[in-house]
Amino acid sequence: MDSQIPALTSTPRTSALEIAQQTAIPDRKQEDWRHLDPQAFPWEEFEQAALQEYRQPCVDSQVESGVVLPTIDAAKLAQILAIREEDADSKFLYLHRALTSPIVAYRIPGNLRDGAIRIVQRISGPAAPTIVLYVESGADAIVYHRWESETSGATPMIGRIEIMLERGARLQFLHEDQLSAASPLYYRAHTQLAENAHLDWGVFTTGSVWHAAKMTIDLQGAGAESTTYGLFCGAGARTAEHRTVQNHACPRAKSDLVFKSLLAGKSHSVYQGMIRVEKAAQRTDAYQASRNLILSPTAHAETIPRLEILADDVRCSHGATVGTVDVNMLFYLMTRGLSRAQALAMAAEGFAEEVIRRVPLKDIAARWRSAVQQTIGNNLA
Amino acid sequence: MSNKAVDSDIDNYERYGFHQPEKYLVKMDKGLSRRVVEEISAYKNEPSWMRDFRLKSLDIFLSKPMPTWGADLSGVDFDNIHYYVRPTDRPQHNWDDVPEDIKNTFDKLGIPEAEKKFLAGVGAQYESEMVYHSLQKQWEELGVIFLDTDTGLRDHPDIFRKYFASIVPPSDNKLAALNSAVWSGGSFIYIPPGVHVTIPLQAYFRINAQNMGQFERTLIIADEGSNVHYVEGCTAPVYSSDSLHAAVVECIVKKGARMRYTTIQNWSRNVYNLVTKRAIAEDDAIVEWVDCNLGSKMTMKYPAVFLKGKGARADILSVAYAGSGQHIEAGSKIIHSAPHTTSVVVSKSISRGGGRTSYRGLLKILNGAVGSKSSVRCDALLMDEMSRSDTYPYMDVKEEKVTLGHEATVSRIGDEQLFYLMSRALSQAQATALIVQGFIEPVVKELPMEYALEMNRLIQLQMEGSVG
Repeated sequence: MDSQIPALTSTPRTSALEIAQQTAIPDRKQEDWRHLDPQAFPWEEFEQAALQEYRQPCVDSQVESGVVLPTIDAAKLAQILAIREEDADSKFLYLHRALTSPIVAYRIPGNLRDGAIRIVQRISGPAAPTIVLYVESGADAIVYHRWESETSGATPMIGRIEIMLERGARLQFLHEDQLSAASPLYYRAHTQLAENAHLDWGVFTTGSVWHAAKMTIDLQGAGAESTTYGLFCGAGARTAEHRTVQNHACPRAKSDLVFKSLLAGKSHSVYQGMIRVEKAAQRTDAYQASRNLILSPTAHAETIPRLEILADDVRCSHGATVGTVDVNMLFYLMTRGLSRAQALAMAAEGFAEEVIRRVPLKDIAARWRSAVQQTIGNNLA
Repeated sequence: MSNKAVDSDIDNYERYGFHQPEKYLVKMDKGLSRRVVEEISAYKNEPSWMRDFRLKSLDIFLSKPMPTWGADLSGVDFDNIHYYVRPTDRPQHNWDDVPEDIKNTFDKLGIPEAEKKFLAGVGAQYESEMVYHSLQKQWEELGVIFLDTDTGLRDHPDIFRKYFASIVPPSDNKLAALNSAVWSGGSFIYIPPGVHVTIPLQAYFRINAQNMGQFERTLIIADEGSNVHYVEGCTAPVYSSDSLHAAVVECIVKKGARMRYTTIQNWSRNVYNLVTKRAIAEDDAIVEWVDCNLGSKMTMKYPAVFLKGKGARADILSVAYAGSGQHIEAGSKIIHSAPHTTSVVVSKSISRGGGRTSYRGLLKILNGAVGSKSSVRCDALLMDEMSRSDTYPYMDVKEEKVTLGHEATVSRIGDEQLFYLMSRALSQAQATALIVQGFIEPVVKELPMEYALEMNRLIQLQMEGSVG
């Protein structure tokens, strides 16, 4: 909403904090919050941090790029960062607004091709980092982004990722969060695609004690295309909730999404997906898949893939599976001399590979692969 | 709309939409209160435990909020409903003794003919009470009980009390509480161990009065190794103001027994159809819900199976059709709590003319239910750009050694399919109806033949107005 832009840019942090304090903590009875207890999030800690007159942002950002990237002008930035809708998660967004720092915002110009930009942010306390990418027409870029804990203790954070793709822009975006097990994390990632824009979005996480992510893909221009592939590799008591929304508002757009969870120990995955196709979005092609591989009798998988279709000339489908490694597959590997644990690990790695092999940066693919091996290996040994 | 479509509407209206003049022994005033509940219980001359149960349920009903997560129920006005309407003083066992106007109704619907031809037993409920009940002698001799629920309570108090409200307690949901407070009629079925009732038992439910609430209560007990197929049909005339149908169905399917429960719901489009149906399956039992929802203004119905015994199996097959102004929310609820249990859900939905269909399903596999398998398949067909289709499945797995798959698709009728059939000289309407029939075939083929024919005829009627 345009009317909200000035409000956002001029809102001092204190009033954002006031709104946050007045906003209720999400209620467990709300559909979105039935699976992860919002009361368990450290609200107080964030409110205390926001009250301090001056505080360290608790984020150490390192950016690596082959070219010098221009910044986004203030008006555009405000437009991108406006809090568009009030929903069950508003309290997170206002609290994030009250604390937000730093805002890492880049304009990726149309003449940039094949550039790889790497952003790593190390978190050391109640933190509220923001990443904004504004990709102009003609650009074709790869951006890798990671949040990680500075220490092994709790480093709670609320994050926000905003990506706007102009007409025909192309972006391959890789996002990873590997916080310490004790770190509560909420983040919202929102992407907007104009006509014929193309987004390829990879996500990897190892979860934490409290981990909730809302990922939205707004297909706003005809012919826009998005591919999303996500992997949660959980062990111990780590948990992760991912809510994905594929919003088709225009004709002839295409979205494809697969989210995989690899669950060892007592880990818990919640996947809530939504494909929403508006009346105007004829000739939509949308797919959503949720795949869960359970490696332990104490792991817990919940999956809720939803469809809301208001146009008729569409192809929309979803699939969800939950299960353990096929016994025939295990048997085959064990006849080849692998131990049961080795065979299980191999099957699990194969499951993860479907996501990892799509990663365009070799070093990042290797990084994710070894994180999977470590998590699984420690649990099956 | 073409002439054909108008004709088909008239045809449909003549078959189901008529209504008889309202003539009743008892018709309570609208609205719900302790007094109404006490009076219902008094009319029925019930034991005191049932009266207390009703009053306790009323309190639960009043204390619970209206569900907000599904269809829009804001149009339900609990104060504008007759909670109890009694057309006759007792159910008849001889068709000739049924009062003339009621008999006319069911004659028009073809119930007595159907009974003669292929049913083991028939029950017919008119408003709040069963008006007719019969069971063929051969089944009676084997110990099969098929009665209306009120008579069941009177004649078989021990079995009744043991199972009644054991599967759907009043606290389950607001509408189950309402039903528990004001229930009347429904079927009470007991199949003794090892008895296979080879032809279906049928009940027919009819709402005739305006602003009527029908709250039938059905209790089916299939004892060890028995086999039964129960079929129910529902219709109501077209009135301008809304009626409410809030039934509760409880089924206990014991070790090795098999129960199939088939519903052809064709309420008129001013009925809120809010039903709680649940079955418990013990070791190696099989529960099958075959559920066809064509009518009503709004339906919320999630047939449930609790797979409690080893090796138990649940099959849920459903067809939902929503035309203009209809929202049909049909789904399923399955809980795997024992090892090696299996469930299969096939849901087919069709939305047309601005109608909305939703599938809402719950699938839970508890820790310890090793070797459980589940497959859910939802297909939706959208007939035009005004209509809407939703899928809201929820899967919760707490066991490692399971196989679970869910798949859903939404699409419209393919142009190539239509083109092919039309090149074979079918009209567009015929081609469309044929494709739709093919689409629902996996469910319809499970219906008894007479019902399958009826179902196809109903679908054809609905489709005839769809093009041109």
